[in-house]
Amino acid sequence: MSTHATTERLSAYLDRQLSTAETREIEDHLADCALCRRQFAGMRNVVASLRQLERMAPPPTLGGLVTRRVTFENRRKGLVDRFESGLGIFDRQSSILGLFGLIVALAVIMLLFAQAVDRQRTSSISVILHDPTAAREESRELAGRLFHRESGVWVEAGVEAEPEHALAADSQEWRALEEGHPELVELRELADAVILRVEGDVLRREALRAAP
Amino acid sequence: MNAAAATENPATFSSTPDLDLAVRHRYGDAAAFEEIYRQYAPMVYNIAFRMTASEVKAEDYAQEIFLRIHRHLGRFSGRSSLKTWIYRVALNHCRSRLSRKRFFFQPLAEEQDDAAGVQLLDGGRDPEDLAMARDAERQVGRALRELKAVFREAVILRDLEGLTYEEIAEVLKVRIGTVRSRIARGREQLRLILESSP
Repeated sequence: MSTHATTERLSAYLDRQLSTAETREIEDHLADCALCRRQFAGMRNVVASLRQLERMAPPPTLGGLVTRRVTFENRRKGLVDRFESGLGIFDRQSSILGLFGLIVALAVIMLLFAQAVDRQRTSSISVILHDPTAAREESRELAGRLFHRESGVWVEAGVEAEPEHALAADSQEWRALEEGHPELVELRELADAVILRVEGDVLRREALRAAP
Repeated sequence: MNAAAATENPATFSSTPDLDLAVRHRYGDAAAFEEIYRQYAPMVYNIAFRMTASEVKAEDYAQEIFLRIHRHLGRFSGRSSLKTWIYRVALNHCRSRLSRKRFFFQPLAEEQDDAAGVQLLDGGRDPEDLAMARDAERQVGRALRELKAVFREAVILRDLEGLTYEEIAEVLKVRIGTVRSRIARGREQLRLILESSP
């Protein structure tokens, strides 16, 4: 071996993955090369340290949590199965088509209803600015969404879940979100904290910091 | 008897214990899944912990992994071992969750140490020795978190879980040459990280 041993070779040698000839070759090289000997010793220490890391015991609560989720999943599946078997008087194809048609019809009705509610809500937006003793209720439409102000926080309409993550308005993560979703830049008009749903996740953008 | 025939008639089934568990599960035997949980919970939890460096996330991920196992176990065909199949489910899930959530979290290396990840048995050791050993373990754990995911997986499977190269190739669905390369690069990066830390 005229050049140094490769990292891959040293690692494979450590794991006895080399052939007899390759092993002899690398052992001869290690006998003569201090640099490779040092690298090999370092790698061996790393592996020894890793193998000394204790295995974590799963928390005692894990079993119960898994059981609960599996039970819920089975119940849900049972409902779906019962529903499907209830359609058994029809042939499978017509029942699937019928079900699909029903879902589409329901979706259209819900969409029309939501639009009607939205029109009613936006037509009754009230902005109270100068009466600090009155209950403040504001709504703003920004970034293609409707926000309501509740207890000093702007909350996107329809978002009821607690935010999973909080991001500062001047954080790298929020800026990256604005790059991916340019409409979110409009939220800079809202100085207070904002709770909204982005890509399926409920986030909280913290209040804008006042300029010094 | 092949897997397809086995799933048709479990009464005449005779095959590996792994396939037997899968077939029993498919036919609604709850005890089969319980057995799998008992056998593989430590492994699944450890994979989740080493990939996430967080006990809280590890518990969440482990639940989700077992739910996936529950959903898909009926389709296990016995082409691989159940052990490698479960490792694959676990790693795929961790990868998927981490790639989705990394956007909102700090990089793994910047997360606070999860002190409970270092569990040393006292064994009557000198307290100073124990503290030094604990510190060394913490350093190794931290260095592991700094690795790129593909290298971290390979090192975890080899040096923490003790899988053979062939098993790792089966879990990761790559060639053995790739396994060799990833393990080597992971170890070398760890070495450089540890040698450069104070």
